[in-house]
Amino acid sequence: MAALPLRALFLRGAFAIALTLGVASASAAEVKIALSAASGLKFEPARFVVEPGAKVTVTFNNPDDMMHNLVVVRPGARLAVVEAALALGEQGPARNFVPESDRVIAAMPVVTPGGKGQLSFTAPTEEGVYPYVCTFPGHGYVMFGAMYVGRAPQLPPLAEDPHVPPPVVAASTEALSRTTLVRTFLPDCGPAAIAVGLPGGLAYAFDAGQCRLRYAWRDGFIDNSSQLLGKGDQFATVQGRVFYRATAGARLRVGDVTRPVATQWKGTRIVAGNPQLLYRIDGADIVETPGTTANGKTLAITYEVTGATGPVSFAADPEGGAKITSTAGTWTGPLLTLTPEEARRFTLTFTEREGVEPLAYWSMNDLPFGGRKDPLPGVVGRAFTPGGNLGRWEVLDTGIKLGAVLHSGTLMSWVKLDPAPAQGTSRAAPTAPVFSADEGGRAFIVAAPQTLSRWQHIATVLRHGTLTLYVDGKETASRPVPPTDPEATIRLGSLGKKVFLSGLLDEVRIYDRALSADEIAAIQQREKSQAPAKIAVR
Amino acid sequence: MKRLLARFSRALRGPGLGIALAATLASAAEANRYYRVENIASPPGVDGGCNGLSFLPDGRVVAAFDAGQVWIYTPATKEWKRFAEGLHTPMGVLALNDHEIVVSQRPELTRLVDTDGDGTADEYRTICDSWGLSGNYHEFAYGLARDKAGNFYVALGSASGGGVSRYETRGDYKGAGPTPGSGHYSPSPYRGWVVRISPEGKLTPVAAGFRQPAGINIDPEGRVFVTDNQGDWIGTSKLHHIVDGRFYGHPASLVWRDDYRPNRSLLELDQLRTEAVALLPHAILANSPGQPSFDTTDGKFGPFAGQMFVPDYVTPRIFRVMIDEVAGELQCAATTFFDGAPLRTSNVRTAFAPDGSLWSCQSERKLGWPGASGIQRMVWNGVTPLDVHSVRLTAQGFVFTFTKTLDLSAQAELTAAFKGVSYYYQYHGDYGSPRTDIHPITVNNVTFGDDGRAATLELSELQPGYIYQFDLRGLRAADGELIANPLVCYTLNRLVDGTKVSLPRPSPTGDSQGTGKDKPPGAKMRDVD
Repeated sequence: MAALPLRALFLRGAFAIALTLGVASASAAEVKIALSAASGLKFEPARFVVEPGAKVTVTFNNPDDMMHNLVVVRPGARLAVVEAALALGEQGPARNFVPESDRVIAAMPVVTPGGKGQLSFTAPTEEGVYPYVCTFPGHGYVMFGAMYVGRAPQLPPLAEDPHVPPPVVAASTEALSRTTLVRTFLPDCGPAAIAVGLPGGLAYAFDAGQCRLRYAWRDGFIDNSSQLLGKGDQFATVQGRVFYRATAGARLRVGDVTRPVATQWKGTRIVAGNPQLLYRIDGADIVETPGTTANGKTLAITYEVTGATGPVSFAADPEGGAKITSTAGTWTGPLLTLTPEEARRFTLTFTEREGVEPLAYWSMNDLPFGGRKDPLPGVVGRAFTPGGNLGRWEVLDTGIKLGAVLHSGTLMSWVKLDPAPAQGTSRAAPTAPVFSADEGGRAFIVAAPQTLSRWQHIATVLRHGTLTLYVDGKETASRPVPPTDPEATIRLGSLGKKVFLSGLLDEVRIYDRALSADEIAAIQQREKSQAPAKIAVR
Repeated sequence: MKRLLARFSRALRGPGLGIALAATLASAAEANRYYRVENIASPPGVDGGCNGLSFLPDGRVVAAFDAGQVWIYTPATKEWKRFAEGLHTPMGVLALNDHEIVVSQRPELTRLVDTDGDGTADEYRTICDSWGLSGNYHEFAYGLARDKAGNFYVALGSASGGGVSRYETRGDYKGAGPTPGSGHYSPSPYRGWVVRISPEGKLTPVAAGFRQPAGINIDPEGRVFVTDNQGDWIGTSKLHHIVDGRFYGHPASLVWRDDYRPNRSLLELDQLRTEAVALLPHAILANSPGQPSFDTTDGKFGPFAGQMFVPDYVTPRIFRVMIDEVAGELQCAATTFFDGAPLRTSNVRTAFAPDGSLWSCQSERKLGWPGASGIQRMVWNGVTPLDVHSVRLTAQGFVFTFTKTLDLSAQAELTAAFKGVSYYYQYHGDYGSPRTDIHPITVNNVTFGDDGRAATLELSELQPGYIYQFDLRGLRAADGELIANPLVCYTLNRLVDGTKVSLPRPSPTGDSQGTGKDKPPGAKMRDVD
């Protein structure tokens, strides 16, 4: 009589496992669980279910760059076992950091980076939540999961499960109520960087090493959580859209501009609630007050220059993402010149020229991947190696939905294919995906022609259902845009998470407008002429 | 108690020569009889990771948080007030007075000034930003100490071979070194140096040879002490006494010295270096020491007035250093002080409060070096533990003095309690070092003096260049108390006549133990941090 309901319950439980955890197989007698280490000291999945008394085989894949073990412990015993492992001290390594304890049910020895491990044990007959944890010193406080032992346990939603690690708290990105300065690492800026945030959603990156604005964005400030939560080489993420990137000349100079610029950073201060940046350029003292126009919509920075012994100048980029106007001085073409008297106080206004800066840009000089090997040189600065240059895979997800560019958009990148792609590995792509969006089964791929062997520039323009390919600024092919999923996310250099372009990408731009052939050629020409070189400031 | 005994007997059964793990020696329950630990709630809305503690004379606490903020805490009201924000990885803080606070952050040394007296800094004056930045994560600006002349001292972390340099750097750049990925390197000036910064901001490089000098402080006598973390070239974690111009062992930083030559031989480097005044045996005493502080409480913190206390990152531990002076140089004994819960792990900075309590702050990086975060304070309960108070080298051995009278009615047991091993750590580019040439310490005679508060040991041999690691379990006070911290490690650089070890060292005749690498045998070597 009882057999049928029990069986039904079990089937439901098994279904839940397969659905939520992707477990390969599950039967009453034996169950196989596939776990892997994920970056940020995590087990994936963070929980699984087995029947009481089941024969469990856990395979553990460690693609991480740290060593991990896996210890299954009695309910509630995780911290005690972690602390006992720590207390092994010098004997820890020889014992795989597994303490002798009746609280330990089963333990997999340490798995080195890139390695695999396997552990077979019989699940306890008593129902309950049995933690699994990495007891490598320091890891056990955050790297753990939950083995639910039961015939059909009720699992809380993952986000509310007290037996799995809580999600890492991200920094607040709420709108700023006052001008805010945050010193952190920003991409495409020197390492002494200051994020300047203004009420109303405008912000800019100030380089305290070079004493100049590097780029400005709108619609948000920064998310600093990666910088704060990691070891410290990760970048704050710009929240919003960069509308202006300063060229090297777009900075204040005092006197003879043919001399190398001399800068000295002096710090910041707050005057009547408004932060100011203080520095010296070419011997003159500068006070920079970040601000906006009265409506809060346009970046307006006020400069006060004292001690100038010659004219103060600023070379705007006539094709840059912002039209720059000044409350004082004389424009000679793109060059603004102010007398020392005029420079005592003036305001530069940076009005966005829409469509000049792309929706997103990757210089590839500052990638979000850590590691122990400097990235390879690119066309300008450093390049991105799809699939990683550290022996582990790195997928560069743009976070941009295909729909944002499908009707009017441009995708461009410099590409250099390896002369002889590695054979017989899953990482050597049959095609060379530069841009792809392949969720939902309808793959959108922009692949590099296999004939590329030197750095070449490829651009794809999407316009009114037509896709046009340019190589080195010249149109080479045109065809209708294939049916695609606008919700799919664009990735760089890979197809799915398995097939990688064997080569390098650099200077990737995604525009939400269709660029003209002339515009594409101009960008290609401009970047081609910039030799890759290590630059050092001061 | 039964469990405690089981732990003891397990430790006694341990590896060959009885090197026992300190973590099993002093139980938290025992330690709690003498010192209580109180948690200090973090400021509202701020992650507790804290890397700098300093006190105002009125007892208020200045704390620098990883989130880039400096807050001031009033213990009486338990209220926090924010003083500054937007800093980049502050790693040291020093309150000059109630309106001027200096902070060492990743890119610079900054003076935070409250000019209008509202309790919040309105000027962030850059004192000095003339050290280099390659952007490597390990380029911390560890601080912060100040000498009587008003000069600041900052210890600049080397770049890790486990991380990259940025494309854009600040200052000179000499590249990733010959073997990126294998060890720490010094791409920018003055990575791996202790630097002195005048009140006006002029930077003077003081001494080279550090890997991760995570702690720096100056004692009341004006001596600069720096801790360094075990790893490549650093066989075990260390405490150094800094003298201008000296080289302290990690060779990457030599690239910024005028007499730099590539490819110096190991022997040449070994002869060039100044040995640590205290070696802190890895996984025995300390794994990752932080900022020392000095007991200036005149006894309010118990029987260790004038001594040095050092936090450890990996273990929930604070250890204590006893300074000896031999032939004109310092050399020290170190012992555990507080070990285990409720003290948390990830201790980075300690500081003594005017009320005589010892504060420790903890700073984890959740996705980098996970552990614990927050601030705790330790208060002496007024009960004196039986502990070693000091160790002094003699021509024949050591004189140990104790915090209270030993139980002289059981002299045979007391005598038997003085036991241990001697060994050294190798100097080489590998990550860590095994304990090498391990020999039991042969104690020929123990005499007790000073009414049972001192023991004079005569050893059959004293070898300079060795650590003498004592395991004093079994020592009992006249009041029945067992010794609280029986692990004592004396770094014997010099004999009383000044004799040092001759280099190169002869081949060891004793065993080696431990890899010093925190990994199972046979695993591929890697830099764990």
